[in-house]
Parts: sequence; structure tokens; C-alpha cells
Amino acid sequence: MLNINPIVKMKYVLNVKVALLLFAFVAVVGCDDDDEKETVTLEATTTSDLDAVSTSKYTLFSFKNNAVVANSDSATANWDIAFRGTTIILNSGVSGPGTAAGQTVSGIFDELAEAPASGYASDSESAKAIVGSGGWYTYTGTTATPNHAILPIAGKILVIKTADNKYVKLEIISYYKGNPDTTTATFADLATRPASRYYTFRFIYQPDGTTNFATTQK
Amino acid sequence: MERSREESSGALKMKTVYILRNVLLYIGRHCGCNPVAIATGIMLMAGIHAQAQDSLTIKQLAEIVVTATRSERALAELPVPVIVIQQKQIASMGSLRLNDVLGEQTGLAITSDHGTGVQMQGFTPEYTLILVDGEPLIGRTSGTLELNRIAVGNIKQVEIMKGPSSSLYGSEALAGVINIITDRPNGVNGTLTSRYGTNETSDFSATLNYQKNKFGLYAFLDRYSTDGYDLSPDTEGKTVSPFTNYTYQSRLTYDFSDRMKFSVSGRYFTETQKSVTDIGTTDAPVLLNGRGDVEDWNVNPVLSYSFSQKFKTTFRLYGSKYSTTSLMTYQGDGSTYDDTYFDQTFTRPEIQTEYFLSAKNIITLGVGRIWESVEATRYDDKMKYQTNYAYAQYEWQPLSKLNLLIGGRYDDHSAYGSQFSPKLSAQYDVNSWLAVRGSFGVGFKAPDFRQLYLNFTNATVGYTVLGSNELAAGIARLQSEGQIDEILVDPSSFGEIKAETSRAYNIGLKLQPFKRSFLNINVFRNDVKDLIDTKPVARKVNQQYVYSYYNIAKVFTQGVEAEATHMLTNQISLSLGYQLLIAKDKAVIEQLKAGEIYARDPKTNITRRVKESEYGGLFNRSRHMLNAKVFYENAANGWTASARAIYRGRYGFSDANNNVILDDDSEYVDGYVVCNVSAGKTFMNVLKAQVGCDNLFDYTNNQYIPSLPGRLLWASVSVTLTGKTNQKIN
Repeated sequence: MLNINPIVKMKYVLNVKVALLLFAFVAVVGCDDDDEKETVTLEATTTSDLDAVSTSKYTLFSFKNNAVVANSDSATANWDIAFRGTTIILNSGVSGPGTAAGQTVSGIFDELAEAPASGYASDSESAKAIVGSGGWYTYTGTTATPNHAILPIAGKILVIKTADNKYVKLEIISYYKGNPDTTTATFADLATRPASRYYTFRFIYQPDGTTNFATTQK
Repeated sequence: MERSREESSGALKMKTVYILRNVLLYIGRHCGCNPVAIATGIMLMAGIHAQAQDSLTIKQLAEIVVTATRSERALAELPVPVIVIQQKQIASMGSLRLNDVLGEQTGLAITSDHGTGVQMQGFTPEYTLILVDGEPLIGRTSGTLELNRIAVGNIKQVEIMKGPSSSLYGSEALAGVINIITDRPNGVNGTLTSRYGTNETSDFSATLNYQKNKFGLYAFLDRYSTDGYDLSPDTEGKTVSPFTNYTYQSRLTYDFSDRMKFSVSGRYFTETQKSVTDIGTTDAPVLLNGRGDVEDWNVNPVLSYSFSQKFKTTFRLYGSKYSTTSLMTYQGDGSTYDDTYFDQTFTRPEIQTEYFLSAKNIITLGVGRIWESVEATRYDDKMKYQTNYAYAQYEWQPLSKLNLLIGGRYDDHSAYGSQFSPKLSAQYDVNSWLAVRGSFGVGFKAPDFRQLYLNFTNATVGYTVLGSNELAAGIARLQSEGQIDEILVDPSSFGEIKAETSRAYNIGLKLQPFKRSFLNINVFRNDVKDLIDTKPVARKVNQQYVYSYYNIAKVFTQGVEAEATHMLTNQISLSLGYQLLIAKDKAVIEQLKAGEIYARDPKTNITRRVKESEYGGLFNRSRHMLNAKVFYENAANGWTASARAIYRGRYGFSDANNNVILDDDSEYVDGYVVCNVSAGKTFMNVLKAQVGCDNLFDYTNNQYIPSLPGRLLWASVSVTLTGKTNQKIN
């Protein structure tokens, strides 16, 4: 009799474990079912007037957190991209300890449903992965109207593989504070033109690690 | 007097009213100018002849042009449309320089890029050949030949032939040819003209004519000066700085016999311009004094010999030199900021033979060689090249109603290879009031010195431009100097540069619906390939680029040109001219079709795709251009008057939404109208007084059209003395 008790007890424990296991299994299956029903369309996030005014320090940015990262974290993988004037660097190669890589592709932001499979570069001594003049912007020079302006080139999308291997597509909208209309006389006049080195851009961050920019699983 | 000579020769050639009608139709063809000139001519002659209508007849018959065939031909007999602007019309308008004359003609637009040039059938100025008495003027800056260099006081007529004429003239005659025919010795007379107007613009000219027996002399002197004008008074320096120029032109003729005739003409032009420029900032101005000098001369002996009635040979020699110097010094200490020079030479001997198989079959053959050189600050050495060429032409009238002109020319160039340019033109007279004509031709423009040999680094900005032949060596040198950051395109992929070529199709109608009304319509299409463009080859360490030239672009220009003239009375003629123009880059159209061109919405700055329908074509082309003119001349009382309105429709200025092409409304310059009026009276056939106002309504656009001055008032007086002796004129 005395011997039975432990067995009974063991059986009980076993039953509880099986039940837990069963419960866990059901819960897992249930979770999976819920996920398939919750395919979420990715919406673009707009960042307005990101300050890249400093001529010495880069403004570091994390797509995952949609936030500026303190310069004290520059030696970490906490940031993906950084801005200083017209220069854009990625957290990789000569620019940072991370493994970010990127490229500029032509197209319409909303239509780019998938990140390219290849073609990503890291920042190197000879070239940044994101090319400035002629890459994402043109400098209008002396004789054009508006003159001496930095204008993003239409139809250029930056595609970035972040430091944690997630894909981002990004369109730079403006280099001037308040995202002004650059075809107006107010903008053409250097005296009334809004301040430069303020980025407005929109991006889609795919948190699930796939190259899909349309939907994600939650 | 010149006119009377034409009259007799013209009258001999054409006797029937039928032909006269053709001439009338022909004349009405291009712009109000011809009918206007005719009207002017009629009025003038009304005083001499009893019947104005007779004078008209004679005047019409007198239209002789040389541009179409390189020999004097009655305009009516040619299947090629040529616009003729006569001296009388130029005088009535009060024009001083060639750009004043061309700016009022249908389908021509005056553009301003490194000088004042003319746009024809949608082509930039570098594709129009400018000739003086059949010989090319040289000295272009970035392709533009400054039209302001050419005084019009000694011009007998300006002939404008649109469509490619490389079959006769070789390189540059891709859009067309403008041939300035200067006066020839004729009678004994002299004229002094003095004119003064707004902006302290003054012009003094003198002509002298002496013709006796076998000897003839014509001399022309002109001094033009202006204080310029300033459309932006708040900035240092003027929009157009003051300049003064002198033109001397003369011609000697001597008829050794009826068979052998000799003439030599020469031209010398010199201009000095002084400017002040600010290269500093608003707070700390740095002023520069500039002085620019231009000098050009040419000399042109011509000997013609008729072996028989049917066989005539002409020897021509032409030499020309064009030089500029430009010096900029600091106002402060007088030290040199920039000092450049440019020297170009052109020498051409040519032999041309005409063989008259019959009046309806004429063969012309020509051979020649051109030596050209350029030596300038922007070139390493004195650069030279030469061209050997031969051309043939056949004028044929296979049916009484059908005229054909068949020609071709072969050019062999020492630097870029050879080129064959054929042309075929035909005209069919359907009935007494309608004629149809058409032509097909190939035109080309050889790569110029800068495109082949330029080696230029901008001192202030730091970019470099290398000619095609300098590219490999230039890049290697910059690399060895450590100036290259990155090679963007393999220099060897640029390849050898080729001539730009165009295939052109023209089809037109000439109509005379009513006795005094003329209508001409011409539809044109030019398919151009191998247009030379620049693109960056490498990025320098200073983040500027190295550019070079390459053949890439394929463009087309097409449109319709229409001109209507109505002679209201014998004194008043009305004309209307219109051009519709579409000029586009074929590669851009393909990209648009593929959806590869984008634009940023100016409100949101978000990128969207540009539709093909939004593409406005090449920059600086007006889709619509219109002119309306009234000319009045009464020979009985000596009065002349004119009122002309010239409309230039909106045109693209530069890209504003950063996709390189013209597609957004903000990229256009508004259309505008310039109205010019003039009135004059001649007393006793000796004294002529004239006043006028150009740009009557003072239209200006400092930002986009700085080349357009505001309202200009002017007055002039001229004295003409005619006689057997060479009188002094007071």
C-alpha cells in the first residue's frame, strides 16, 4: 500500500505534465491559427524634420524603434542609419560595428513590394553604400532655379538591411525644414528658403526578417 | 538700281502670268516678310512706274536666290522653299543687327545661350549654318554664333532655307541655312545714316557705291555702340554690359570680259565690351573689371569664267579668322583673375562648274578642301583638321509642271571619318492656284573642336571637361595626379565620336485662294541620331565631375508652319505666321512608356510616376509661335510704317522637380508678346527720317529672359546722294 502511493503520486504528476503539454500544444496550435488570421499590412512611418544640422556628429537612427539613438551608442549595433548634412552612412564597414547594408533602387515607394535579393553594400573607404550627389539627391548649382538647392531625386528608394537583418525601404522626401514646396519663389529665394539639413523621410520596417514590404505576421 | 538689273534678267526668264502666279505663291510661302518686301517694293516703284500692278509684276519676277543651288536662280523655278527678306523690309523695320531681322520671322526663335542665336525647326543655333555671300561665318561659343556681330545696313537680302542642306553645304547645315547676301557695286551713290535710341544705343553707318564700266566698288562702314541695360539694378554689374563694335565691309568687282568676271570682298569686325562682375557675397563684394575683345575678318576672292553659254566655272577662295580675348582683373589691386584667348581659322578653296544641258537640265559639280584650326586657353596645342569634299547637283524639269532638284555631297574629315548627304526635292504645280512640294534630305554636323579636343577645368568650381580625343590621356593624367576619386564609366566605352545626323522630311502646299491672298503650309519632321551629349566619366576628389562628349541621344522635331498674306491695298499688306512645334527625346519617350520616369509632387514631395502625356519635350522650344504684321508704304508721299506683333508661346526653362525632363508647369517660362512699331518719311528721295519703338509694351522677364531689354525708342536720319561724281555728303 505504501508502495502504491508514490506511484499514484507519480501518475498524478505525469498526468499534470501531460495535461500541461496538451495545453501547451493546444495553445501553440491556437496561436498559429490566430497568426494566420492576423496578416497585417505594413504601413509607412513618416519621420519629419530629423535634425542633421551638426557638422561634426552624425544623427543616429533606429528603424526598429523609430527613434534617434544617442551618440554615446555609436559603437553599438543599436542604430541602423545616420545622417550628417547630405551624407548618409549605415552601421557597417568603416562607419560602424554593425552589419547593415544598403542600396538605392529606382521605382515608386508604394510599388516596391519586395526587397531585392542581392546588391547590398556596406560603407567602405572608397564609397558609401548610399551615394549622395547623383544617388539620392542632385545639387542644383548656380544657374538653375532654385539655385544651390539639394533636391531628392524622384523615384529613388533606399533599401536597407538593418544591423539585426531586417529589411527597410525608405524614401527621402525633403532636405529642408517643414518639407517645403521647392518650386515656389519663396524657396527659390535664398533669403526666405527654410533651413537645410532637416530630413523628412518615410519608411517601412519589416520586423519578421522577410523581404516582403507589403505585409507582416503578428 | 540693283533691282532694275534683276528686273531685266528676271523678266527675260519668265514671261507668262502663270509663272508670275507661281512666284507670288512662292513668295507668300514663308512669313510675312516676302510679301511685305514685295509690297514695299511695289510702293517704291509706284512712283517710278505708272502702274503699281506692273511694278508688282516686275518685282515678283525679280526674286532671285542663290542659297538653294549656290548659283543665281529664279525663286519660282526652285522646288525648295526659300524665304527672302529684302533690304526694303529690313529698312522699314528699322533693324540694325541680324537677330532683329530673324526674330520676327515665322518659325524662328531667338535664343540666348553663350550669345544670341537662332532656333530653326526646333534645333539649337549650332545646327544652322550662317553664311555671308555663301561663305560660312566662323566663331561660335558653345555652338552659338553671335548674331549681334552682323550688321544689316549693307544687306541686299537675307535668304533662309529650312531643312537640311548638307547636300550642298556640308557640316552644320542640319537645321537649315541662313545666307546673307550683301550689296554689290551699283551706280554711283552714297548714304550716311545716323541713329540714336534708348540705352544710349547709337549707330552710324556709311555706304559708298561706285561703278564705272568694268570696275565696281562697294564699301560699308558701321559703328554700333550701346550702354547696355540692367534688369536687376540691386546686383553689381549690368544684365548687358556696354559695348562698341565696328564693321567694315567692301567689295571690288572687275569684269575682264563678258566671260571672265572677278570680285573680291572683305569684312573686318571688331568689338570691345567692358563689364563689372561681383564674385563675392552680398556682405563682402569682390568686384572684377572685365574686358572682352572680339575680332574677325574674312576675305573672299571669286573668279568666274564662262567657257561657253553652257559651261561656267567659278573659283572661290575664302579665308577667315576669328579671335577673342577676355581679361578679368580685381578692382582692388588690379591683379589678374582670369585671362583667356581663342583663335580660330578657316580656309577654303573651291571650284564649282555648272553645265547647262538645256534650260531644264542643269548639272552643278563642286570640289573643295577646308583647313580649320583652333588655338585657345582651353586646348593643349593648336588643333587642326581638314575636310575634303565634293558635291553634285542636278536641276531637272521632266514635265512642265514638275521641278526636281537632286543633290548629294561627300565629306571626308581628317578627325572623325566621312559623311554622305543626299537630298531630293520636288514640286508639282497642280493647277494655277495650287502647288505641292516635298523634300527628303540628310543633314549632318561634324563634332566641333571643343567636342574633340577640349581640355578645360573650371577654375572656380573645379569640374573638368575633356574632348573625345583627349579623354583617355586626360583621365590618365588626372589619375596620376591623384585627382580622381572614382571612375564612374570606363572611358574606353565612350568610343570614337561620330557626326550628328538628321533625316528630314518636308511636305508643303502653296495656295493662292484669292487674287491678293497667299497661303503656304509646310509640314516637317526631322529624325536626328547620334546627338552629342555630355556625361560624367569620373568623380574628382573635390567631389566635382569630369565630363566628356558621347553620341547617344535620338530626338525628333516635327511641326507645321503656316503663313498667310493679304494685300489689303497697294499700300497695305497684312500677314500672319504660325508654327506648331513638337521636339522630343526618343529615349525619354521609351522610358516614359516603361514607367521609369518619376516626379515629386510639389505639394507633398512624394514621388509619383510621370505619364507620357505630361512630357513637354526638349527645353526652350515653344509649341506655339505666332506673328502678325502690317506694313504700309506710300511712294507718292514718301511715308512708310509698320506694326509687328511677335508671340512666343510658353517654353521649358529647366527641370524643377528633379527628373531631368520637362513635365511640370513650374518648369515653363510664360508665353509673351513683343510689339514693334516704326514710321518714316522720305523727302525728295534724299533725306529719310524714321522713328520707332521696339517692345512697345515694355515686356521684360529678368529671371528667365534677361536677353529681352525693355521698351526701346529710336530715331534715325539718313541722307542718300546719287550722282555721276563721288560727292561729299554732309
